[in-house]
Amino acid sequence: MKRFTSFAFAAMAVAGFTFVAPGTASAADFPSKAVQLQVPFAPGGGADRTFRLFAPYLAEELGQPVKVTNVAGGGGWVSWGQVVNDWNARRDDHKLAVVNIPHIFSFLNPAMKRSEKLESFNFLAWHSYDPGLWLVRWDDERFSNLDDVLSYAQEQPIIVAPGSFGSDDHIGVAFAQQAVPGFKAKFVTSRGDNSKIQLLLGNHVDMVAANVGFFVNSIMERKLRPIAVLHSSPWEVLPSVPTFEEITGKVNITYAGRTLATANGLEEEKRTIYLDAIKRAMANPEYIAKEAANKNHLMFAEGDDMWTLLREGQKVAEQAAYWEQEGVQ
Amino acid sequence: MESIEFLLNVLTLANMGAMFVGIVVGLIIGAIPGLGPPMAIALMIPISFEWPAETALILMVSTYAAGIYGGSFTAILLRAPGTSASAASAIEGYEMTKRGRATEAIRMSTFASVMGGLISGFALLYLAPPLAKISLLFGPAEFFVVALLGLTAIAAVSFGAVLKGLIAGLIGLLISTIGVDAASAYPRFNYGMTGLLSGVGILPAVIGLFAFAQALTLCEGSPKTNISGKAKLSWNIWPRWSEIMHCRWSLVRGWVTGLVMGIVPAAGASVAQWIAYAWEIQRGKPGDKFGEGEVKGLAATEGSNNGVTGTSLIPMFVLGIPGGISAAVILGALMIHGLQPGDRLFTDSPEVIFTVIWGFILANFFMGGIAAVMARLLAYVTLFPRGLLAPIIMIFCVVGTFAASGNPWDVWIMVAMGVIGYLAQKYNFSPAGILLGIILGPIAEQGLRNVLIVSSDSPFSFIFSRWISDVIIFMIVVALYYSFKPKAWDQAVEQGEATLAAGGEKKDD
Repeated sequence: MKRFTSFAFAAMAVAGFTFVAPGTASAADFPSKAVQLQVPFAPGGGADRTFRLFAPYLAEELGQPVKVTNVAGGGGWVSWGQVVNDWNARRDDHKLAVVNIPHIFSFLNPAMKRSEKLESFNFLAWHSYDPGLWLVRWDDERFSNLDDVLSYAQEQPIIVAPGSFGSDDHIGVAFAQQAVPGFKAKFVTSRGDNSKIQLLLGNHVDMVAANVGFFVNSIMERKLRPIAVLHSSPWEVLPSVPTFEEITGKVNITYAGRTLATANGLEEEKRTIYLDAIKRAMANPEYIAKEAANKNHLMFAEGDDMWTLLREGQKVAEQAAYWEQEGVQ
Repeated sequence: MESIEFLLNVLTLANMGAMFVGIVVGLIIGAIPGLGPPMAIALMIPISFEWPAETALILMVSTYAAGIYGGSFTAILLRAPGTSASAASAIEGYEMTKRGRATEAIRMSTFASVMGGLISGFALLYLAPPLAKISLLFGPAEFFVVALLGLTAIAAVSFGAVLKGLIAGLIGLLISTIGVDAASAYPRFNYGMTGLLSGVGILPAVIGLFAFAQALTLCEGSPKTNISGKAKLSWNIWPRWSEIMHCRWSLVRGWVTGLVMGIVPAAGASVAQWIAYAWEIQRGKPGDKFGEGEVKGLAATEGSNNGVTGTSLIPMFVLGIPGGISAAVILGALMIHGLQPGDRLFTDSPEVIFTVIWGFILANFFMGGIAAVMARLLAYVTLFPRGLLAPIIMIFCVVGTFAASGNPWDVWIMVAMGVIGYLAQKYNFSPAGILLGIILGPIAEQGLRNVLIVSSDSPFSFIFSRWISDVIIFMIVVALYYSFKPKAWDQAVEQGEATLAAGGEKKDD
C-alpha cells in the first residue's frame, strides 16, 4: 500500500510538473495560435454580425488571428453545453464563447431540465447591452404614452408581439403582468424583430416589446412610437422616452446583452490577457463607429459590475416566471 | 423612370468586378449542399466593409441571385439540391437527367431562372412601394392560410398515391413540432437531447431527404454504370425557341408565383417552388409526364424560385422587414454601411439604392451565360460511375450540413432524414410531402395559434373577415378541386402514355 502511495505521489508530481510547467511558460507568449470565437447562433444573425465585426480588432490586440465559428442550435445550448461541460482549461485555452443574456436564463425553466446555473460559466466581460423598449404605431390614436397603454390593458387584454416566450422582451411584459394590478396581455408569437415590425405596422397587434437598437430607424421614420424603456434611467439614444419605473413606480429592467466567457478553470494570467485585449479592442474608435452604424450599443463591464448585472437579470427572469403562467404548459 | 440614369453607375470596374465575383461565388456555394447564399453573404460583410456601399451591396445581391440558381445545378444533375429553394427542381430535373436529357434541363432551367430574376428585378425597381404595402397585410390569419395553400401541393406532388402522400405530409408536420415551442417555451419531443431543442432545420431536412437519400439510392445500382445512361453529352446550352414556346405558360405561371410569394413574409423561394410545381401538375394536359421528366414542371419551379429573388428584397428595402434569411443578412450589411432601410433610402440615397437594384438586374443577365457554361461543365458528373458518385455526394452532404451550423447534431438529423427519404422514395411515400410538412408546419402552427389568441374564440369569422385570407382560401379550394379531379388527370396520363408509346418521345441531341 505504502509503495503504491509513493508511486502515486511520484506519478502525480511528474504529471503535475508536465501539466504546470508548460502552462506557466506558455502564459508569457499567450496566445500562441489563432483564437476561436464561438457564436451560439447561425451566420447572419445579430450576434454573428457583431462578433465578425469585432474579431479583427480583438485579433489586433491579441497578436493572433481571431476566427469566428458558429455552433448553432438548442436556443444557444448546443454551444453553451460544450462551453460548460466539454471545454477544458488546458486544451481549450484558445477558445472564447459568446453567451447571450437573458437567453441562458432558460435554465430556470424546469421544462428545459438543465443543470447549469450562472456560476457554471467562466464569464470574462460584458460586451453589448440593449435595453427593452415598448412601441406602438405612430398613428395609433388610442395610445400616446404608457399610461394610455396601461389603462387600455386594464379594460381588455392588449395584444403584444414579444417574439418568442422566454425572450427578454417577453420577460418584460410577463413581469408587468405580475407587477401592475389588472394589466392583461395576450401574446402573438413571432420569429425575430423583423416580423414584429410587420405585425405592428400591418395592424395585427397593439404593441411590440423589443429592444432599442433595431427600432431606432422606425422611430426616426415616425412609423413607430416608443412609449417606455425598460431600463433604470432614460436611455441616451431616446432621452425623452420615460422608463417603466418612472410611470408605474415598479422596477422593470430587461435587456438583450452579450457577454464573453471562456473555459472553466482557465489560468488567471491567460484570463487577464483576454480581458485586457477585449477592453482595448472595445475602446478602439474605429470599432465603436462600426457598431454605432450597426445599431449595437457597446458596454464593457467586468468583475463585480458584470456579476451584479447578471444576477439582476436573473432576478427579473425568476420573478416573471413565465413558465408558471396559466395556459402555458 | 429617373432611376435609369443609375444604370451607368453600375458599369464601373469595381462594381462589375464585385458582380462577377458575386455570381461565381453564389453559383459555387449554391451548388454545394448546405452552403447557401445567407452564409456566403454573412462572410462577405466584414470583407466588404471598407468598400463603397453600392459595390458591397452589388456583391451581396449578385451572390443571392446566383446562389438561388446554383442550388439547381446539383438538384437537376444529381437530385441533390444545394439549397432548400431548389428541392422541387430535383424531381423533374433529375428525371430528365436520368433519361439522358440533362442538357435540355439545364437549358430550360437557365432560361427560366434568368428571366425570372430579371422580371423580379424590374418589379423591385418600379413596383417596390405598392408591393411593400401589400406585404404588410399579412398577419396571423394570412400566414395560416398561405401555409395551408402550400400543404395542398402535397396532393399534387404525390403523383397519384395521394393517401401515401398525405401520410408523408403528416409525418413532416409531426417532425416540424420537434423543439422548443415558441408560444410556451416548452421543449417538445426532444427526449432530453439538447440537439433537438431547436428542432429539425429545413436545411438538414432538404439535404437528407433528397441528397443523402439519393446517394443511398445510387448504391443500389451497379457501381460501374452512370446515372444518365449516356457516354457523351451535348454542348448545346442555349434554349431553342420551340422549347420556350412549349413551356411558355408554365414559365409565366412560375414567374408569377415567384413574384407574388416573394412579397409574402417568411414564405420565400422554398414555398414558392412547390406552389408553382403543384399548379403545373394540376393543369397537366394529355402528353405531360409529371414525375417522369416533364420539362414544364422544371420550367415552373425554376422560374418561381428566381422570380422570388427581386420581390423578396422589397419589404427589406422599403420597410426594413426582410422576407427571408438572405434578405435579413443584406439588411445587416445595409445598416453597417450607414444606410437605413425605409422610404428615406429611396429619397436620401437614390444613387446607392438604384445602383444596387440595377446591379441586381445586370447580375441576373450575366448570370445566364456564366451559369449555363458552369452547369454544362458540372454535367460531366452525370457521366461518373455510381460507385464514385454516391460517396462523393455523401461527403458533401456531411461537410455541407456541418459547415452550415457547426452543430454536429444537424449532421445526425440529416443522416436520419436521409434514411427516411430513401425509404419514403422506395415505397412511394413522397419525400416532397415530408419536406412540405417540415417547412410549412411551423408557419401554419404559429399562424393558427396566433389567430386563436387574437380572434377571441371566433377564429373562423376572423379568418374569413380578411380579404387576402379569402383570396387564398379561394385558391386552396381551386387547388383541391383540381387535385382531386382524378379522372381528367388519369385520362391525361393514359393518353399521354399512348401518344408516347406511338413514338412521340422527345430526344435530347
